[in-house]
Amino acid sequence: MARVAPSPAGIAVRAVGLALCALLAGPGCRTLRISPAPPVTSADWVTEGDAPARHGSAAGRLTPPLQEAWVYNAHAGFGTASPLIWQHVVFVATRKGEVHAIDRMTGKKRGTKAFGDAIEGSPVLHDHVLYVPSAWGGRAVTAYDVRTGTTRWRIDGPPVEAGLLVVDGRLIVADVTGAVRAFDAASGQGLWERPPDDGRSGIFATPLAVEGHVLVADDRGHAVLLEAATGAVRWTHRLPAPVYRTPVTDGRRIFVPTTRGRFVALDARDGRPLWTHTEPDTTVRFTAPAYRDGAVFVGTSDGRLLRLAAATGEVRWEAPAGESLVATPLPAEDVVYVGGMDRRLYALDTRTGERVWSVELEGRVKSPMAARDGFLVVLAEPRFVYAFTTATTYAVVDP
Amino acid sequence: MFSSRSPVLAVLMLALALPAYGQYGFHFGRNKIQYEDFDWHILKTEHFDIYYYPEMQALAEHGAHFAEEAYEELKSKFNFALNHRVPIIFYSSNIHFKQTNITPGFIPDGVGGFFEFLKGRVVIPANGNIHRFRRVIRHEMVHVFTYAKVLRELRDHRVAPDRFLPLWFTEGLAEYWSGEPDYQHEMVLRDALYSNWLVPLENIYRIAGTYQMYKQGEALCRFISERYGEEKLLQLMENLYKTRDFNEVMELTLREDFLDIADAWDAWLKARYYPELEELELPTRLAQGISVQGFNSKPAYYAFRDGRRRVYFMGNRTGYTNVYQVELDSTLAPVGEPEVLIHGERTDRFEAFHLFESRISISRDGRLAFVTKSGEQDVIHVYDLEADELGPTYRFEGLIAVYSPTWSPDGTRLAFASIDRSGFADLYVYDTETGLTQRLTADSYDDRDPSWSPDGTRIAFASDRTALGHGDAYNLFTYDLTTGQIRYVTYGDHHDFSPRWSPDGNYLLFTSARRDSTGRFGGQNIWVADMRDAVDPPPVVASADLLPLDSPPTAGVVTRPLRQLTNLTTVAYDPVWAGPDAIVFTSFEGMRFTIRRLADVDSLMAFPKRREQVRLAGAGPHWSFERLGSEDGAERAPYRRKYNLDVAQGQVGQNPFWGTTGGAAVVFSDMLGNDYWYATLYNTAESRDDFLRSLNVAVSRVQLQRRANIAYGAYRFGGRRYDITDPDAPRTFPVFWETVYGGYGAVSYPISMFRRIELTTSLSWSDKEVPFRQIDRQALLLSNALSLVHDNALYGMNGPVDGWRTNLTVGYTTDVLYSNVSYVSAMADVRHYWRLGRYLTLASWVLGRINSGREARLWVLGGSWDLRGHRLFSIRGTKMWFTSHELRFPILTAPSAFIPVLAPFGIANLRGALFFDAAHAWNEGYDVRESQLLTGETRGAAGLGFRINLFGGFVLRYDLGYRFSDGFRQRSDLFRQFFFGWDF
Repeated sequence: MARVAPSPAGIAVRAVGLALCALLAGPGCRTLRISPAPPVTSADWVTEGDAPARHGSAAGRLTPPLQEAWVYNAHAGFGTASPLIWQHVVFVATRKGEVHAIDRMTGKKRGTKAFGDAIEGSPVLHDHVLYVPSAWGGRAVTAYDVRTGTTRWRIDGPPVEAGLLVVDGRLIVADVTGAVRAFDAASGQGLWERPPDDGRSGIFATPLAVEGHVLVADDRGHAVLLEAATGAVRWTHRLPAPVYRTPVTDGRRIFVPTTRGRFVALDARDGRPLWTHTEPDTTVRFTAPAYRDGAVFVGTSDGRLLRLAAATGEVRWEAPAGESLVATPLPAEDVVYVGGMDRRLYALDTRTGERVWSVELEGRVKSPMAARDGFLVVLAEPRFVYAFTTATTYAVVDP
Repeated sequence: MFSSRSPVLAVLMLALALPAYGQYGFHFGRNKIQYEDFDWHILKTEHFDIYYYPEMQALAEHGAHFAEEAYEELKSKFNFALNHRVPIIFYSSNIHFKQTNITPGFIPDGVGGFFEFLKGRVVIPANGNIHRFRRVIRHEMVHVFTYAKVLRELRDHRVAPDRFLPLWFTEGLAEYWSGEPDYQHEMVLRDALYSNWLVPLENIYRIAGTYQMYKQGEALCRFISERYGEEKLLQLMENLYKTRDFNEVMELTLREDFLDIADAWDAWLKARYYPELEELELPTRLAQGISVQGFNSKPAYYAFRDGRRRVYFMGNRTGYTNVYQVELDSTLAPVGEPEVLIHGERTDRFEAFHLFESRISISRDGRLAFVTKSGEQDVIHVYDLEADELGPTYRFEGLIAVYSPTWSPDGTRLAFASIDRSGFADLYVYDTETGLTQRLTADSYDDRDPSWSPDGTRIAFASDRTALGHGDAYNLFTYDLTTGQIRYVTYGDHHDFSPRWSPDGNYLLFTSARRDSTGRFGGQNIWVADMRDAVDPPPVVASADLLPLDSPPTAGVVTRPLRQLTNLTTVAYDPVWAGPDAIVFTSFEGMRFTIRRLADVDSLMAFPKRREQVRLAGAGPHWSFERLGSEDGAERAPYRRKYNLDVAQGQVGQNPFWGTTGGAAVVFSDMLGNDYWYATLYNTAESRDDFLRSLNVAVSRVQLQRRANIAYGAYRFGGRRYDITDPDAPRTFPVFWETVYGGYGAVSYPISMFRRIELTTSLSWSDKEVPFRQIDRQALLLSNALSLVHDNALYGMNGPVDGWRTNLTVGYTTDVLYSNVSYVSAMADVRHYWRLGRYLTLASWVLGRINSGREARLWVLGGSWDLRGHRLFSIRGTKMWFTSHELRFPILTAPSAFIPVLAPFGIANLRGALFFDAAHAWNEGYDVRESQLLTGETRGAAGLGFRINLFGGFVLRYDLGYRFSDGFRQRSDLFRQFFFGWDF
């Protein structure tokens, strides 16, 4: 039988058909399974700010100049979710609702999993379970076992735009209705719930752990310290402005950024205000702060990075950086890193604020960073994950 | 993203803005003329490329500072920074702004600026008021940030940017974040509440694009900020990815039911404004109406020698702005309806009036001075009221915009405010006898509203040169014509405008808008200043150098008594004395600007609403805004044309007859929109062998920067064609093969806004093959055409309703190589629109077309756009005449009178048309019939049609009637035809 050459139209139809098949099959192939799965240790950066206290400080040296190790295309932008570093894997959550697992050595994709329509707040990795908040799409939180690639449990409910907190085996979830709920991290069983104060407040700042307690701050300026075990209110304080970014604590003090030119330090014991740093321009917003060695580092929306004395609130230095700052700074041993809305990553001397290094990125930096052992992960617009290493010290041992 | 200076002009904007594309490819349309050859330069600041011309460098440097200032503020408000440079194009006056090619449409008065999405350009004119200039820059910068942020949010979430914030939100936010609410904002909101026309939140889409929407949107954003927190304004943008329905976005963000939000806003407004109502007077209750229909402003009063009294004013009752007159009786009550004295906006001489910006003045001997735009600048016309004839027109070298002329008492000189190419407003005096113009002020202050004192020694005017002017205050001053000294008349953090001397020179009438105890502006009221100065206040400007004194003399405190005559709910504008005991003024109420008479002024003076002694000494020093120039680090460079991609579009189609077709088109243009390159590539090949034969490619360049617009290009068209106008093509299915390549050139020269000459020429090689008729013809075709186009038609929602337009064209096409083709073309197309009533128009259209000679092309007719009841283009002939007449009448006009954009939503402006059409086409002989072409017989139609405009630009048409043929001897059954398109 004679073989008939396909017409151009026929070729086009086949190509479209194949493309459709690929599109339909693509999402179904997506999974997130890390095997073998090394243990999660304290050396990993598995929650926003590295620890439930959210200090956000890099352990080990991270001395500039840094070198770009790889760039990964996550195919969507990033919210205020922090990347997570777990041994040889980097997890990144996108505003498209996906979590990407990236090989830390090579920058290659190890897996992708969709969790609802958008992720704004930081996921947390605890005992090989990745807890992912969903900002839209019906789900609230998904507990996903990264060893088996299966969903352990899921909670539906109001969107969660704040990051998650795991403290003493309890998962703390604060949602956009202002409700705070605690679940057994292993089973998903509800432990306690604190209903919203009123019908209109929402929580967008990630809760943090303060000596066995949980601090939540909402968009109407209410700061509440709750017993982690029971949800009982230890104290409340009305802040002078809404809170949209994650506070940080040194154990004794809680440093709270607001949206209206006020940065407040509260006494962790009773919520009493210790000091307030006030900007003359009340439209200035603060980034989430970071804490290291008695100093608080915080950026401002008008493009300044401040180092404040944790004890007094005194401004030790302020330095221009980044045109406008939205992302949390990340202090290391001698320098503090901050990504700007001017598409640059800066390193400033922690003692003087002097700029010691910077590098241009593809887009703005709006998300927190994560760092481990001379390895820094930066999320930049429009959809890129950057990995930087120190020039000499980087090494990863694959277990 | 337009922002408006004047509320009514913004309201009218949609109605008056006509398509400007008439010069290019369409028969009709008015002309947007580039009178000026701007020498563009660029000032590069940290975040902006400021485009300006050297004459306005100082203003551009102020603008650069304002832009950077706004940027610094907005990056915190938006929690965002731009990562691209923003091009801002400044013009020094509205008249220059009207010439911009960055938007193809016409720009009416009152548009403060716009932001366009294609290249992200911000375009802003100055109008003499530097505060306004600063505010508009901030307004447009809010748009730039909003657009960039929303787009970023959508892209971050991988949501297609096929949604955007509603206009009320973007414009409201831009107003809210560009400064404190001004007195016009308060004026509109008070009126909305007191006159009960506030559009609820759930229906706010109905006023999209109007000034009301701007102000209601601003109030909504303020309400959201106060009730829910300013941060929620940003969250509304950030949550747009979740749903297209902005009402739902509001519910998600504000965490309240949408209707509850709407109710809360309504209650919030009422709580702010209702408590004041008890103290206030409605203009309609206080003052008798003299002209209350349409938009009316800028009244002037004149008592004739024979005892007649009239009020003259600018008005827009029909869509055109005219000067009107209305007779008054002895009690100053109107006698009859206002009549048009000067027909405006239809002729080159009175091309456009400044309806709300320029006062008119009448001399003691009855000569009316008024301003119109005429060509590249404003001019002052004089009309002799006693003789009832038009007098001279005064044009001033170097002065672009002219406002508010006022006669000297002896009637020989005119004082006026004007903006030159620098963009700053100053005062001038023109001597009509010597022809000399004297400049009285020369600085960056906004000097306006001059009024000559009855003794001829002083000119009162309003200005922001007050020591409080840095905060946007306007006070009144006098200019001493003997010494050149300027003195305060009023002083305070107010908006004092529109001074007018009393006939005896003892008082100065003016309007003043002041903040009340809440800090908000109250109504703008009529005040009187007592000018019987015992002691002159100290001068604030010396005569020698026109420089402000740093510290005015303070020896002895001088005070002036002021009296507030009204306490209005809204606003009074431009009061003038009408005899010794009456005042005529413009009032705003119920979204209408009306002319009213305030009687018993003596008693109002005796028992004013409020008395005040204003202290005039001790006024502060000179002020100015900062500038950002090259000495501050900005770089300056001449503009060099660079082309960026505007549009790239591809298309693939599949058709059983044509097979697979595909192509792409790209458009490039420069930053100023003066120079366009168009490129098209298209292929209709059915097989690989036909690929080259069916390749269509065209490249064109259109240059708009000069008065004469030029286009030229080259093309190659080939393949199978369907052409019903080709005389050699089969009649029933006119398909043949043709390859054409060549070039063309076109020049369009506007004589005025309403008339132009068009010349086109082309030279092309044509190889035509008509297989069914065994024709294989080659020709080198030279084609030339010359057209004269006139168009002053006024558009309603469905098409023209007034004015007339015509297109006269002659052309010649010949084969210069083989003489295979040689024919002449002539066409006369005349359309006239008689306004029989406010909403009633009789439209008539007469058309004649001839193509005569070898291979003359066929003209076509038929379809809903011309000969109704017949199939589209079913009548074809080398010669034809056609006539159509329509009586266009309203069926539903409802609130569209002052909220015209209700119409797009289908609930208003349903119109009808009684029509009669007739046509006759022929080829060889007038009566020779060709059934396939429907020639040789007079055909026609008569019936009734309905029209409705959707979304402001898409007109649906439904006609039913009888079709006639055979010289109207035969009538068909009733036909029904549904189509789209504007009325002819």
